[in-house]
Amino acid sequence: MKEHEETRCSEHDVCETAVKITLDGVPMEVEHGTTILAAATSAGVTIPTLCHYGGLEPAGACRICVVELRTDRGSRLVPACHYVIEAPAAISTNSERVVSSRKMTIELLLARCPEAPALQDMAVEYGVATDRIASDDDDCILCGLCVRTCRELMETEALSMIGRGSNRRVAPPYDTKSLVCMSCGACAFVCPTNRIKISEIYAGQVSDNLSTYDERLVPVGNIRLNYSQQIPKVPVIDRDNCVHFVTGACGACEKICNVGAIDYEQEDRNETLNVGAVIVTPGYDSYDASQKGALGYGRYENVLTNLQFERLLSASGPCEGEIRRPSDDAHPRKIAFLQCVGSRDTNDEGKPYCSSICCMASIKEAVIAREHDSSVEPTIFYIDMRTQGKEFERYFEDARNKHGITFKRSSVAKLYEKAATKNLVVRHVDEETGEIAEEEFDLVVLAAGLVAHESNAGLAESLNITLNEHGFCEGHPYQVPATGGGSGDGSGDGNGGGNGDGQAAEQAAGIFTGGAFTEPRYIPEAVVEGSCAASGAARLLAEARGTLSRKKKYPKQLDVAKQVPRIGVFICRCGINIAGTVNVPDVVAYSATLPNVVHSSEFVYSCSQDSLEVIKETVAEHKLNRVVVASCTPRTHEYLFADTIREAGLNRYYFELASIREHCSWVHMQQPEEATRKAKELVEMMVGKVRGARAVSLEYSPVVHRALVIGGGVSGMNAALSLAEQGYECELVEKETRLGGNYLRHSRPVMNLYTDSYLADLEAAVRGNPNVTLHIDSEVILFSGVVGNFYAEIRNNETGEEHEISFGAAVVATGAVEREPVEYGYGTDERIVTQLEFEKMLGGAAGPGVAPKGVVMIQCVGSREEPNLYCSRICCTQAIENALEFKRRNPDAPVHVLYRDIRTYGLREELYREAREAGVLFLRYEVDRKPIVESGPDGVSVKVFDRISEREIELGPDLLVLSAGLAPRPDNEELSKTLRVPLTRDGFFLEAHAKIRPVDFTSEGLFLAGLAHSPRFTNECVTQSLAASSRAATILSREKIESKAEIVEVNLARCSGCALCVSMCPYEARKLDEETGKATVSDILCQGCGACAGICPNKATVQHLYRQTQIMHMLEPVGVPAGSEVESS
Amino acid sequence: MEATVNEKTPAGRSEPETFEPRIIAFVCNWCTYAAADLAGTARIQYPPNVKIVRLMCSGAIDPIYVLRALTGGFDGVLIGGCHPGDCHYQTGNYKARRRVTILQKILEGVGYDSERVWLRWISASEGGQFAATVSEMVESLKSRGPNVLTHNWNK
Repeated sequence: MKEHEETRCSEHDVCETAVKITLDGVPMEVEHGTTILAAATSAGVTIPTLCHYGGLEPAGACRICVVELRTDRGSRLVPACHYVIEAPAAISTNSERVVSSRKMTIELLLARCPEAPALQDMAVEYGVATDRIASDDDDCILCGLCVRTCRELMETEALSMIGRGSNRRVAPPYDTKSLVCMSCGACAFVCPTNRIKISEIYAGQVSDNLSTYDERLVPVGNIRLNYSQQIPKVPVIDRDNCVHFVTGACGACEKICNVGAIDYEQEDRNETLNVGAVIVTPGYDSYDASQKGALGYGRYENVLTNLQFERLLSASGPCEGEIRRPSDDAHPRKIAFLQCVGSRDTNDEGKPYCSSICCMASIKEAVIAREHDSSVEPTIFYIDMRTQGKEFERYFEDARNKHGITFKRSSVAKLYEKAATKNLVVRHVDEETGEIAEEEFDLVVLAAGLVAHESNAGLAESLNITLNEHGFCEGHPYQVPATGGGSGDGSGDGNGGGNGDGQAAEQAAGIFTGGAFTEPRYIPEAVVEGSCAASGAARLLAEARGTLSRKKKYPKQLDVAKQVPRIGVFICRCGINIAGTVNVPDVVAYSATLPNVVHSSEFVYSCSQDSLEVIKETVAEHKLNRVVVASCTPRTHEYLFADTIREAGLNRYYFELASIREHCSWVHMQQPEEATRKAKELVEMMVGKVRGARAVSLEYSPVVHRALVIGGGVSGMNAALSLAEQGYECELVEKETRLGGNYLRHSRPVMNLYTDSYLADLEAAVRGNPNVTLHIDSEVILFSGVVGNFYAEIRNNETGEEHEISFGAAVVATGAVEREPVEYGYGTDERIVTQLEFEKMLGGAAGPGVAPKGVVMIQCVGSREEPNLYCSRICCTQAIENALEFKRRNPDAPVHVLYRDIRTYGLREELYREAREAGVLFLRYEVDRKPIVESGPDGVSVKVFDRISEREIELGPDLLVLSAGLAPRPDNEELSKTLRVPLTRDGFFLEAHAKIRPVDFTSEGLFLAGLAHSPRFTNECVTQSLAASSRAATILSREKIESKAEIVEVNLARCSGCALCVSMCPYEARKLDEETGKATVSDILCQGCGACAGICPNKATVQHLYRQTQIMHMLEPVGVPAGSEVESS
Repeated sequence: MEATVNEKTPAGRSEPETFEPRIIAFVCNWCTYAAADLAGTARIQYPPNVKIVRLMCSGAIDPIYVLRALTGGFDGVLIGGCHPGDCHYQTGNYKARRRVTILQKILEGVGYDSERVWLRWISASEGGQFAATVSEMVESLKSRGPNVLTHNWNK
């Protein structure tokens, strides 16, 4: 620092490198030439100002910042912002004289501008009388900050002082709206009294820079975090709008940033990476709802898109989760959700496909809106309710029956605004009467569909892949599920390899796609697709796995267990984030007095690289064996600091972090003294905690690099093959006598997506892979162990032979069955068949023969109502496929499909349209008025009530086809008990998290795929099974599995064997040793919740990192001596 | 390091003129601790009367911690856990609920005010809720006055 000053002062005759001053009695040295304000700020002393702005030369205009200066020439008041320290002086920022002067200034200014919040706050702080001077009604204090900003920073001069004396005021030159003004808003930003209105200055139309993240609901600045989850969490400058980048002026941020983080010279860089595979997941865009002009988006303020409404509902959104409508910030009561905006729309401006997710998204938004505000009355206008996902049907039913959401089956073509209230009138066809009806709403939410991402075209060109007519990646996954791997090793014959999503791979080897790149998708499907694409890359790059990874080296760990604690405390100023409120030097001094603390100091930013080096040096210099950093939340840098002391040779658990930013300075900003006191206590708590710390060494157990796959259908075979090709051994167990599962029941390729030889090719690849061991006609009869080290017994049903196998991870892919209908006379008449049976007829050479009277299909047979309150997802498409196939053979025979909602989601919508064009007739029935079926020698009769013609229609088809849906396997319950994994209410297997962990079980190391998860199409099963293989590989690729640090241990001398801990543990990690009668812990099973430690009456169970002694130490900083803790140490 | 401090006087030990309750909060790592962090990043202001002890789960609460805090000088104890059904460890919050209920009964049984011990469900996204809970608890404890259990215990 001194060197720096010397160079700076070298030209002056009287050069003093540092000037000695006292600030409020505290002696200090400041750099010659520093202003008082700057000196005070760096010492953490606040001096109020109104006209000061860091990026500008000081003006001393407002006189609020006056301080008393005592030199050898006497005492006087000077403006702190302006006065430069050149000679020793005693400065008082709060002497009686200063306060008196400041109060007078505030009183005068407040009398001029009684409404200015900044002045009102100051008046309260200084106890200024407000009734002595007659109030004016101005809102400008004439500090000139705006004018200086415009002139000096923006180099624009769109503002000036005009008039003289009492007529003086701020206005554009010549008091005419300015043409040179850039409407940058800097003047309004700096104004201390919020006087400036850009619209009064700028001659053009002011348009805000709107937040993309908040869906254009709020304006944003040009330096910003684009969203709170941004990584790295560093603000960026919007170069398109920043004045400095546009005109070269301003540069205020560079002047203000005291750590010099602003660098205008930074450029975007192109980097070349050498990779073996590319995963393409660009996501989607929202349909531009303004294209549907009749729905008023962009014209009417209270018409929002679904994503905008999501932001309104979000706690991090513009209204912090309060629902307020744009026109008047009022809480809307009646909200209309309009479905299929831009989707299922064959008009030029629309998209013909279904966007899949909007029905469920709108229901969710309506339900959450009601949770936020129970007075909200949502109505959802829809065409078909498409809730075909797992557990979605229940959600829909609950929304209707329990959450008070109104559903109206009506497509809305038009709405208009009421001028007075800005309410919206929705014109629709009333379902009951069939008449045009109008209903008024406070807010309308448009379920704008999903469209291909704008970057798709560029990606397609550079990756040499083809897009379809909608701009999505060609060959959507429902068309071609794959057989083998895409590694070109010969196993992937048939469909040419790739993964379940492997069309891109077909076009260009090594390119894998996921998410909404191929069609609109729900979150769980997108997550599954991502894992699936990863499995494709992992198969391709199996040989190279791990070859580029590097391992960090640490010094040998010092054994300090027997040493007296020597604690080092580092307090972070975090710029002004902490130091602006907390008196950091005071906390440092206090820390030094705490027991066992041998060092305490402060950093401006303790997370910076040089600070970390200082920590390491200090540990060595002072032989520290424990460290506390008081800074931000442990979630940001705890690992960084702990890793730093590990680099210094200490066990990383000899570290504790005191959160004095999130839990102190940021939440007590108006109470610096109290915040400082609290910061001291928080540090004292953590010093106490770290004093009782013990080293923790993690337990490792080796991973068995072998997988178990249960189920040898298409899902199981794909999972096994994928794992085998990634280089892991795989045990594939199939209960039946042959591989193939449900796929064997299809007599012709499903939806024309598969080659005839698909199954045979897949089976050949599985059988031909040396890593796969087959167990046909076998069952898992026993299952135990933990992640990385499972163990199972497999019994052959025919021979009764039993095998024992060990493995590191398992995939459950046991499938489901077609439900056997009990409704509509099934089984009493051979003319009444299921869809699968019908498909078989169509697949046969003879087909269903001549059927002049045609076919009637009934959908949702036994589905979507209790006790099977779920949608089987595939039946609508399956029925339409079969109907189309039948029509091709019998063009003149009628086909009637009796349905509740047609759920041809995504690109399947095209089949629905094709069927209608081919003359397939769709008749909707209500669940409380189901079709009536009678069969006799004359044929089958189906009576159905048609709502449109309001009469009963009687049909006499040759065949009645029932869409019976899929049912969970009856033996799921037994398997779930063997594996100790849960089932859903409907009897399918339950994943760990519906959205973010869709193929994981809660038990680590177990994964789930295919129909065992929920009803889905074969291609979706394939994608899911490859995803499960990918997830399993995250375990199998590890050499060893480590235990968690915060697990518990048992002090055997104290354990009485009461087994309370065993009853507490949800993970079966706690057991009672039968021989010793003492409690035990499985380090690998223990998840570290600490519930057992909390209940242990003898304190024999101790949780690492949260030892009772440590917590008791933390309770000390209230002034009571400790000493009654029970744990021995 | 040598630091000059006149005497060890953490504020809070000196008796302020108006009663400022001292609260210790035992909070779950996964929800309420994160909510307190969120209150910080959102700059939601609340009274500085609370200090937080992080546990991995509200179910790890040992009743001795609560009693120690109450006998040791704290005027109130806040326990923060995940909403029912949301526990990171499946059922830890229910365990906390059981323990706190019993503890409150015991406190009442020996004639002390069980309303000094609060159990609240505050999820990771409820920063405002955390701040509001602290403010509410400070007000409640102010109306109840200093904790006599501390006084009697240390008599």
